[in-house]
Amino acid sequence: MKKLLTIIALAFLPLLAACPSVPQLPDSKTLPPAANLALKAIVSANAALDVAYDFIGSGVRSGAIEPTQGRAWFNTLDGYKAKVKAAQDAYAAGGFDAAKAQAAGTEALIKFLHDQAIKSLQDQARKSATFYPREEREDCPCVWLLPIGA
Amino acid sequence: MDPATAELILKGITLGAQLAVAWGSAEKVATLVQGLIDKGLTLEQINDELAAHVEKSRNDADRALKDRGV
Repeated sequence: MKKLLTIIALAFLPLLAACPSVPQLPDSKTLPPAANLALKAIVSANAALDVAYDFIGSGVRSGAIEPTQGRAWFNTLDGYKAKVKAAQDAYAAGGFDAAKAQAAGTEALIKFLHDQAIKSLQDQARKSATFYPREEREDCPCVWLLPIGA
Repeated sequence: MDPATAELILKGITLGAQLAVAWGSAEKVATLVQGLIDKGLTLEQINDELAAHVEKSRNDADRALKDRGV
């Protein structure tokens, strides 16, 4: 039984290890280097936004995310979306360095929110997995699930 | 199998499913971007497509939240 539980816990680790990042974007041949970098940062920020919104949508649908918490994350993401839009406006106005800084900074915030959301789900699952009366736990011949990705 | 152990296994599977939700969405966007690159789109075109996709994901999440009353 101990072995089985360990296998179940470990079975999901490849999902973390194989977490795909956004593919390497090609350089544009027509854009100057600063514009290229700025646009790549904007693309990357948009990709992070897409992942985070999608995460909330599918999480709420599957019941993994509590709706009120999901709405709070959604609203925060909307604020970040406005920052990405500001980066795009700066890009369109030729402020490539400002656009790059704004987009890269916002992407970091989006990823942080996404990481926090995942951590929150992990903590929630861990709490529910360890909610047993003490006497039952002492009799249980199994190991507690390892905190995956911790 | 005793009920406590069975429940523990079930919780382990639930945790895995929750993580799959997270990484599943990351994989989806990576596939989308790779597809746009493979089509030979310019960076501007890739960004336009991606921005449209962000709107779609946002609206989808908004609808899911509204369906649950928030």
